[in-house]
Amino acid sequence: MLSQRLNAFFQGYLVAMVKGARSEELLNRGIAGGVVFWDIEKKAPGTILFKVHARKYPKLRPFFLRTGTTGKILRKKGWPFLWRRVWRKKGWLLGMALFLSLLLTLSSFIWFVEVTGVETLDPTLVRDHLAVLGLAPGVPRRVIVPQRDWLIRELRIRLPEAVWVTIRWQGVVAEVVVAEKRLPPPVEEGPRNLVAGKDGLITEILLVEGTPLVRVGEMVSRGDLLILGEATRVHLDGSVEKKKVKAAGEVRARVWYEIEVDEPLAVLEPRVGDGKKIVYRLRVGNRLLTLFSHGAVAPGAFVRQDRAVKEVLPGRNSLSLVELIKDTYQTVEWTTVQVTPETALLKAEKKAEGRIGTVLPAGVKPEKVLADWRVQAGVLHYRLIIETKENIAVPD
Amino acid sequence: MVNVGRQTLKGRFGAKLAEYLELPSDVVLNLPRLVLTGDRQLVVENHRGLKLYSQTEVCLQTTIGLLTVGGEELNIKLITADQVEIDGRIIRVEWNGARGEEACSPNA
Repeated sequence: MLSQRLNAFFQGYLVAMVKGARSEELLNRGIAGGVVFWDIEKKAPGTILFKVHARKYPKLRPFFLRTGTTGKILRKKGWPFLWRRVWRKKGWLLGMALFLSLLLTLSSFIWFVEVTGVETLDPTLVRDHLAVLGLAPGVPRRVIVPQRDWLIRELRIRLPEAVWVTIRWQGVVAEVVVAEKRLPPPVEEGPRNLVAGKDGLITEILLVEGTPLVRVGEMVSRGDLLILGEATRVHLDGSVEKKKVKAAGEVRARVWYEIEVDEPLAVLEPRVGDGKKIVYRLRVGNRLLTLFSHGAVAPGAFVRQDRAVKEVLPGRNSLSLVELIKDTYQTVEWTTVQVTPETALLKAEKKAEGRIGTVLPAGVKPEKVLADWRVQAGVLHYRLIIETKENIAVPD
Repeated sequence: MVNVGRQTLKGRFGAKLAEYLELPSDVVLNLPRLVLTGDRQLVVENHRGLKLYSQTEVCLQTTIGLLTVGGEELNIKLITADQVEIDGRIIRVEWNGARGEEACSPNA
């Protein structure tokens, strides 16, 4: 059926109508004469609509007379008729040809250079290197595409921070993917001391190298010297040698952390009002164009903004260069809502617990947790004290 | 000539021969071949012409009599010398051997 339809399109076909009491007979006579009909529809008694190959239609003419029916061509369809219509409109044809040639010409250039995968490197620096090597917006694809391997090699030489580089061609976009080297932190050599990183009560000292200057049970403050980077050796002849060393060891101490949360007993809550304004915008690259808007919000009123973003042609717009944005502005009225101390306390506890992970260093667990709270001037003050045991010795 | 239900001597011989030689009987006996796909499409091969066509009924002449296809929104998608393709909601397919011409008249 598809092949028959394709054949009909390329040969040209007619949508015709036959009227008369013997319209079925006309079809039978046509079939006997080798004419093929399709999409036959009975529109009314004695009126049949059909499609027929254009070159076969003249064969039906004698049958119209013999069957006493009348035929009428309603539409001429298919490639030959389409081409004839187009050929008559020379201006349109020329415009279309120019448009297609312009499209083809423009699509044979690189217009965007996208740098992805960089973390510490500046993408502009990568683009500058690429521009020097010949890959910049406006360069013809046929010139630059064969040089891909050379470009990658040269870029890697120019970017010692990169461990791997590749270039992907996506239409008019050249996507440069850079994977940066991850260097280990520099090893510190030479003598050093260990000082207290935070306030604490010393509970244990593990010495590897150096001279300890504190004892268990002592209270130290942040910055106090804990282990001196100096070793004393007594030789057999009684002489004492003092040598600068790299202090090493652990000074474990009780450390206290404090988390304070203030929870108001009266809060302002927004209520959406009547005023509403919707603005449609189009983002092309970094440009934001306002298309149209409707509704209004009172000037000076508090407004809430909701933004919905839709990518235009997501299949051909992988870099999200064009987006349709719908901003909804609604007026907001603020009302005071009273909160009970119990509810405020629950909220404060939840907030404080949520902050424990951010206050404590990684790998340190709380040994003891103390909590207290009080209400003052319409605010609930909640305090959480966390005691830990951890190594507080850090290089100075 | 309508001969549904009554076979001539030639017809009986042809049927036996087709059965014995395992040949397709629609070819040997020149019978129409109907392919009905659900209630959506009916393809009739080896027809002898269109007798009547309306949106609710299509009558086809065949070698063994009139074939009436009843339904709703019936359309003839394609008609050639030996094949008719009917689309729509097909409710009944009926052989009008005995009723003949009057069964397939617009007023029937």
